[in-house]
Amino acid sequence: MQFAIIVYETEQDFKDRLDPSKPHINMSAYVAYSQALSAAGVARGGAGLQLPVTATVVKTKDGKRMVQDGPFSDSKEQLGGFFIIEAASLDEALAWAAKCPAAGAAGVEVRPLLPPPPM
Amino acid sequence: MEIIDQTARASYGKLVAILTKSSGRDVALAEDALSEAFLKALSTWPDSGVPSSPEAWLIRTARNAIVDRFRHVQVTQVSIELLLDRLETRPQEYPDQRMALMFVCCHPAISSEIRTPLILQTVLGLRVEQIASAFLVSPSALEKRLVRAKRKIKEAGIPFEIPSASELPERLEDVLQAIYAAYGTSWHERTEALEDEAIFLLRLVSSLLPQEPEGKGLLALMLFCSSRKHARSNEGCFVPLDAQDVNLWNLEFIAEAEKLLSEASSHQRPGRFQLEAAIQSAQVARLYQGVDTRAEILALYRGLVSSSPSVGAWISYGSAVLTFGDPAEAKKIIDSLDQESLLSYQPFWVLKAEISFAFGDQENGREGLMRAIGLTADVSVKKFLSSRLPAPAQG
Repeated sequence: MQFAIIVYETEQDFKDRLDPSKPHINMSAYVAYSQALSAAGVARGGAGLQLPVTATVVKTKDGKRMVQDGPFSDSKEQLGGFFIIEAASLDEALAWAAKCPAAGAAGVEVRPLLPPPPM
Repeated sequence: MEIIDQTARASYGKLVAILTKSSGRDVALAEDALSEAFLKALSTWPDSGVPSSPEAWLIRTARNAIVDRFRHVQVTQVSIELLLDRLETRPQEYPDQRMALMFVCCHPAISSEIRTPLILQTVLGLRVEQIASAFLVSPSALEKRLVRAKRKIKEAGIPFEIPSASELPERLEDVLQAIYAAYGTSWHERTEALEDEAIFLLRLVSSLLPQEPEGKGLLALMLFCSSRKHARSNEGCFVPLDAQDVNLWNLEFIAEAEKLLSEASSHQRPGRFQLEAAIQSAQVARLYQGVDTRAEILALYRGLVSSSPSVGAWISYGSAVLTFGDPAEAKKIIDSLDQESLLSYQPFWVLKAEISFAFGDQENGREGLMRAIGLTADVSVKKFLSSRLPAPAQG
């Protein structure tokens, strides 16, 4: 079954992405992690997201549109990206999640994917 | 109240063991009754004072709860009353049943993944959330597995006893394995290891089964390992054995480990854990006393990989060979292992990378280290490995 490993980041974590003095948490750590997922044959997809400040929220209600700058919620931890993996069980997915650089910072969330809709 | 915490910590398993016997092998019922007794203690001791024997008080109260429960389900009363009557109310007069409880938890009919959590919960009274975090599983899933395992103990009629002499070594191996799993079997990834709990359990095993050398061997191994706790990390970065400041080692632990190891070897029944502890002892002699024990260490590793050939043992052997200056031999060792099964094994990639560096192959070394970093959960180890990364090749 497939799981999403969802990365949440604080403002500091977003800054750390480009900090060469923090190779355990910066982009190079994410590259190492993605490579490990691919080499193990469990990687199914995923993406890193640009900073929350680049986000735009769109809503339509009763024919009215609302467009806002900024991310959906203003919580301390923001969505930073996600990995989709194939795992035999939640245990296995959690073992991979613990190795994600973000697990050592703000934390990651693991959620099973819905099965794909029937064709 | 502090006395209640102390009693819970030191006696929980003993009390569960005693009560399991009187509840018809029902571990879950024994635990329920005991938590009822602890709750009652919390509400009455502050006013009435601490009873002269807190354990006896808890047993009596829990026994009453069990009897109530049986009355409730209208089970024939006679046998239970008889059983209860045979138990003294003074716990120090009971033979300690905790060992039997550990054997129940590690019975071959119980699946191996749940044995350690079962021991931690029933013998030490750890909370499900604590155990789930240590083993990286979801608390609700773990809770379900624990309930299922306890039902199995009851329904399969797993005997509540210490196995006979002929079975004992093999069954004890399972118990030791389960305790070792709590300690964290790989030193590279011991982020949430239940170090103190595992040592407590092993002290119990060696005091209740003093004639079994492997129990002492494993306890010695853990103490050697724990003696280096403060030397193993510097400002949040992992420090490998040969780079550690030996003045940060805990000499009390080392002295106890050496004593246990020599007691164990006097039985003349060597085993995997005694061998691993002997390797640690030789490492202490080499690094702390400056004695050249490299040949002994390699000989002990060869003994270990021929008697218990685990991947972990082979990688540690290869690591020692490399540290002692023979990268060609270290390369031979890892090349002889089944590469396919090691693709996601972090220590393999660390060793592979270090061998590449020893041959001056920066590119493969870098690639191996990157893979190891991607497979590491421990942040301090991630930091250490990152610090070993050479600058990317220009061009």
